[in-house]
Amino acid sequence: MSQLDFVCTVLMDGRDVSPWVKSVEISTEDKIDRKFTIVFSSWDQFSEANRWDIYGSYNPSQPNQEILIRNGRIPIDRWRSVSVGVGAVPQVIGTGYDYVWLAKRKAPRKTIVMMPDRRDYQANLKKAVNDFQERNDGRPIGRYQVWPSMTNLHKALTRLAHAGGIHISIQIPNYDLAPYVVDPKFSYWAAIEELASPFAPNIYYVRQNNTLVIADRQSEVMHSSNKLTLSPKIVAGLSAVPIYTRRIRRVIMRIPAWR
Amino acid sequence: MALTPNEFVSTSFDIPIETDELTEGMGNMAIDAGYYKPGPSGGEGKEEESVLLEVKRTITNYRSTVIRVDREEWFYDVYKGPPTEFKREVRSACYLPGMGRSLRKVEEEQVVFWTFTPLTSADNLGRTRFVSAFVVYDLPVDPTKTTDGETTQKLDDAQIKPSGTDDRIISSGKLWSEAVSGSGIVEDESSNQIVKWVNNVIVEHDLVEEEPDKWIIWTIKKNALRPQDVQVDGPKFIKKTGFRYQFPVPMQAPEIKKASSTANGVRLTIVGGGVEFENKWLREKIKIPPDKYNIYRALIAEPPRDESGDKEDWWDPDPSPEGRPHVIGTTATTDQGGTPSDPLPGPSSIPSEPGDPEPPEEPTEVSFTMIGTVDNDNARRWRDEGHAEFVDGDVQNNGEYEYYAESIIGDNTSPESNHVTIIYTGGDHRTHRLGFRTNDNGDIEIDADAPNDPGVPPDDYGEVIEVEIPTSEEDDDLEDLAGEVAPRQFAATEPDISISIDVLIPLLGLEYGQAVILPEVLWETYGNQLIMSQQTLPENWMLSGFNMRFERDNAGGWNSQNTTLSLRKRSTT
Repeated sequence: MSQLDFVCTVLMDGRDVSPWVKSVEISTEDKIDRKFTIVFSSWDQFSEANRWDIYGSYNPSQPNQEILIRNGRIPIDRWRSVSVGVGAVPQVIGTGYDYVWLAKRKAPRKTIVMMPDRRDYQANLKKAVNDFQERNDGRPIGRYQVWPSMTNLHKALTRLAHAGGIHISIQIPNYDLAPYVVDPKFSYWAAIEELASPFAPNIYYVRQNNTLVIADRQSEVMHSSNKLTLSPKIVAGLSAVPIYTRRIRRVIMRIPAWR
Repeated sequence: MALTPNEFVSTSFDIPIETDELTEGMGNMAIDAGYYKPGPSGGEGKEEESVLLEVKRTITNYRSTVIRVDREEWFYDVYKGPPTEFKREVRSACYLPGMGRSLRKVEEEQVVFWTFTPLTSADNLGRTRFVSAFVVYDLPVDPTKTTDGETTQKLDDAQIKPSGTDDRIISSGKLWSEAVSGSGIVEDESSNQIVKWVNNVIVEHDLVEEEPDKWIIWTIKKNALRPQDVQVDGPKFIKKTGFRYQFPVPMQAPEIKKASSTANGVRLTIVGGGVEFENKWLREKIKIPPDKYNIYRALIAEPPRDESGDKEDWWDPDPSPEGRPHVIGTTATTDQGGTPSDPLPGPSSIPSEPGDPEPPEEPTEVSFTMIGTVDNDNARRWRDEGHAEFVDGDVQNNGEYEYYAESIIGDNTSPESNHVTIIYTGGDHRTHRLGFRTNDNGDIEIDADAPNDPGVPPDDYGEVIEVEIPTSEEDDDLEDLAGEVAPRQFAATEPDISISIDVLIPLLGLEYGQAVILPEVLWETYGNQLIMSQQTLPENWMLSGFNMRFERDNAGGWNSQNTTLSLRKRSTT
């Protein structure tokens, strides 16, 4: 199918570098990350701060038909792979990730303490911080900032997502939140996963509108994009394997003493 | 048969060593240890202890020169028995007079154990310890052979007082290690020191005597360098640890006096049990009531747990009865002429013939599981009969259950009590089983068990998940919350299938969760006289991942290779 008018455009900081690109590989690592590998036919100076955008199109007159990678980054430990052969142009291979990969690693500067508005505010705040330290073998939480009015789970998830730079769509039940300390080691994303994990074993990301979907496995909702119909002409092969799923016998839910 | 090492562990790490202007102060120690590891004879879950048999410690300096090697060996005749022998050998590159700096053996140690008490620990073994080593001797100096007070200076440096005799100064002999660590060695070839290997320079005896309640240990130390100084330590007493003897206790089985259906479940009343024996001297019977009772239950018959009567609206259909999904289905089977034919015969469709043996009946097994332990209400009252009440809430209307109990004192368990069978007609229906408990620190733990699944083995099969929910809901609402959380976790156990499809063109607009419609591919298979047509099933699939690769061709256009889509079955619910 080489005669299809497919065009791939690679932009580095908005600059079109596709003439130097030999090949592009795009794949999904999990439900969230999208990984790309670019092979350049010559050396160029690029750094971790460079922003990569990759477009694909079936129409050469409109090369920006669809964005495949938005705001990608090549982490400094991965890009610098060079291969040189006899009589061949040196190849530089860079492997990076799109915007969400970066967003997943965004971490708050200070430890977040979520407080619902209730009586004995200061006493509760102190108790929440002390409790957290006790549970973590006295590991201090360092400087912390208080997020007030975090009365329920949905509020907390929404605020964490916005702080991490993504939208969020919550499809799980709500409950009243007790004072809650986000682990200082966690990024915003990890905090969201931690809070949502009892309800949602299935969290995925919709790239079109930069939204994290916290969905129920029971009622898995397909988001509204185009249906994909594969005609037999383009299918070259099919293979299927059963997936091992965990057999869960028992769930223990622990609820801290805040009532 | 002596033990030989069959497991080897090597460790290496940097150690700070003495700094001077030429070194960076870092050396390296490598430890190679050999263990005897017994085979898995202890049965499942029993990890046998490894026995250390040999260790070699090598110290190298920052130039990777080996400066010291210690080698230790332990000898055993039987696993977990006492050691029979211990050997140690020290090689060092320290400076010794007349030998310079080269790596050579400087000390040898041998300990022979007297294993006459093979059941005691190694501390109580009689032993003899021999140490052979280099000894550094200071020689007398002839002041007339040197000039200008050079000798005097050397003697001053070495802190040696000159003597007039030609003999060795026996009292100045030092073990090499003492000489090296102190300032006893003069690093000069012309110095008046020599070194000599002395066998058995140190000899130690541990003499052990055994008495019914203790061991008595005497230690005698002799040093060839100080012949007058024989040290005798002792006696040292080691008390034997007492044995705890326990006679079999004539435990008596309790009795389930009453079993009744209540609104909360089956209520059992258990009485009796414990120990009863006769004091022949006082002509009196003494009765000790049990501490606790264990209660066991077996399910005989139970109507399926379903939606009817589910007041709390917790019912969710069991996830597993839905069979394993598949991709390809058989649509038709015909013979070669085209007439529809029966499918290939399976085990169930083989007709029986006269003379066939009767198929064996499936054994009906009643398996009991322990459902709880309950304290004896009357345990405080001496000679009172034991009594306890137990409510089993995990029962189903019109289900039939069988119970028995055991009485317990300490580690002793009685035989089974009478078996009681009851058909529960009490009340409410339960689909999920929730247990609440409060921990010492005030935390509440809610415990949810998965519904019984006929497709998997019972009891301990599967995994346990722990989640933490930072909620401030009231106690009444916690039950609802648990009812929301637990089924969602259980539902993740649905069997699933993953398809990967190779596509010939690059596809744009791919998103996780996208609905995918597969072509129905038809084909036929020939087997014996039959033709079977098959097709891919028109299921709902969704996109779960992809991998695309575009390459530039020589003309400057883009080629696509290896576009692979991963699909998963889309939930129908």
